[in-house]
Amino acid sequence: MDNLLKTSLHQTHVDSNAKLVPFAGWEMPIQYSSILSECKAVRNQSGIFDVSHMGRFYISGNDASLGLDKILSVNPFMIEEGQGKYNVICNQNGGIIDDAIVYKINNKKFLLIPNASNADKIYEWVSGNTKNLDFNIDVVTNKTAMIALQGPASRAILNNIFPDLPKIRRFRFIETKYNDKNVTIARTGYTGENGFEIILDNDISQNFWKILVKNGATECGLGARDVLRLEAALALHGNEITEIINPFEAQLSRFVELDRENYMINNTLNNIKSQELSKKLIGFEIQGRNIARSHNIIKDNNNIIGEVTSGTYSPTLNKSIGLGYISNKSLDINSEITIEIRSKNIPAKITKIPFYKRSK
Amino acid sequence: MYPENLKYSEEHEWLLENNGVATIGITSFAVESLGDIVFIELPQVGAEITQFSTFGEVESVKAASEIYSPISGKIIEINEKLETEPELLNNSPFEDGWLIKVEIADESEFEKLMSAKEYESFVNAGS
Repeated sequence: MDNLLKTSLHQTHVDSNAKLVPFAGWEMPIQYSSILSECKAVRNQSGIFDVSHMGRFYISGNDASLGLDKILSVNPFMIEEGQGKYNVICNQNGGIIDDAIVYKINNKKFLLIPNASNADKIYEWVSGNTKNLDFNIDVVTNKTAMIALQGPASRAILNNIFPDLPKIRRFRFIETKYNDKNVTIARTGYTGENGFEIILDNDISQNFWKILVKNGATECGLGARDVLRLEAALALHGNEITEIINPFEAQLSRFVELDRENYMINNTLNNIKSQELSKKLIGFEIQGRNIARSHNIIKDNNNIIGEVTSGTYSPTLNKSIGLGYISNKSLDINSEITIEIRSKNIPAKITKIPFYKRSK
Repeated sequence: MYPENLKYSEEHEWLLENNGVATIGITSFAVESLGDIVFIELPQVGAEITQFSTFGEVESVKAASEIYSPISGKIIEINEKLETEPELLNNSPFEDGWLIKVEIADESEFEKLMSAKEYESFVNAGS
């Protein structure tokens, strides 16, 4: 694991005896104590995740809005200052290169957060399509840390650290100070739970992490993060969304704002939208406790109709759940299907997603 | 670190012999690499199993893994508690997390198994 990148929190993970694994070129904690107990902590109290491996691109210039308008599935001119939006970045065919959150600081300054595994690709794509514009990309991934604080106790914990913190609505962010250093706090996350994602300088990240722990947050790894996002049916790039899946198939049409002159693939996506989809994303529940895994085959009465993209045991629901694509559009919620797991046909049922929704 | 009174296989199963009956389970090393175990599929009592062939499956949050029998024989008991408490495997792999009890067909098969010391070197060599 010599060539792997390390986040500024790496030593903290080592000190906490986390199990470290290679992930998207980084050495990251997959779990501390146990995936199940970490999931429970996030659903019942709070958990913290080192997500510093994700990309952080500050975009600035007179054409910052215009350049992003060409590339993002949402209209950057319509985002309010202090607001973030989930969006997808598609290739010329409408396939999803990555999903990202874009935060608007002002019309000339944005922060874009792509996935770790796609950050280089997105950098190439964004810079390649904004060449003649006044549009600069400042990559701060290696200079900053990003910590996700997730769970019902998240706000109370932040109040202890920032006594004067104003209310932050969902998908809004504020910029503040911690030990005289800049900190960005966004009310976003990837667990289906209330929570925040916090960006701060590398040199204060370990101290900040320890203060979160002292305030009751449980250290969590990427294993728990994957289970939690799947319970909330949030797409994972490489699984539910790829460069050969378009946002309509992935049930992400609500994040696609069309009829924009500058949007490079406006017509492509309008075309796709007007045609019947060849497949659709579904959620399913397995009867019994076998677990479906990515690429398991989905069948309807012995006919192959699709493939699993993600599956796990859900500790919150005590059920075996999964997501996948099927070609048969007549099947709907409660339809019975089978999943082929190690040559056996295991009965399952299509269920509505998200599997888990937090009570307000 | 591995109990001295058990015999071990390269597939990370353990066996405890007592009056011709073998209690079989998977080792703490196997359990730790699997992580949280959520489901164990075992055969019925009465089934015949063969040394080094698969007789069941363990699903953890992260991965699925087959279980291989360290010995041949007839299953006379399965650990039914595991159906509702699969976490017994994580918490107590060498005791409460045992999987099956087998009437040993041929004790000469023990020769193909490892002692605790040998298993420890085997595990250390592999990691």
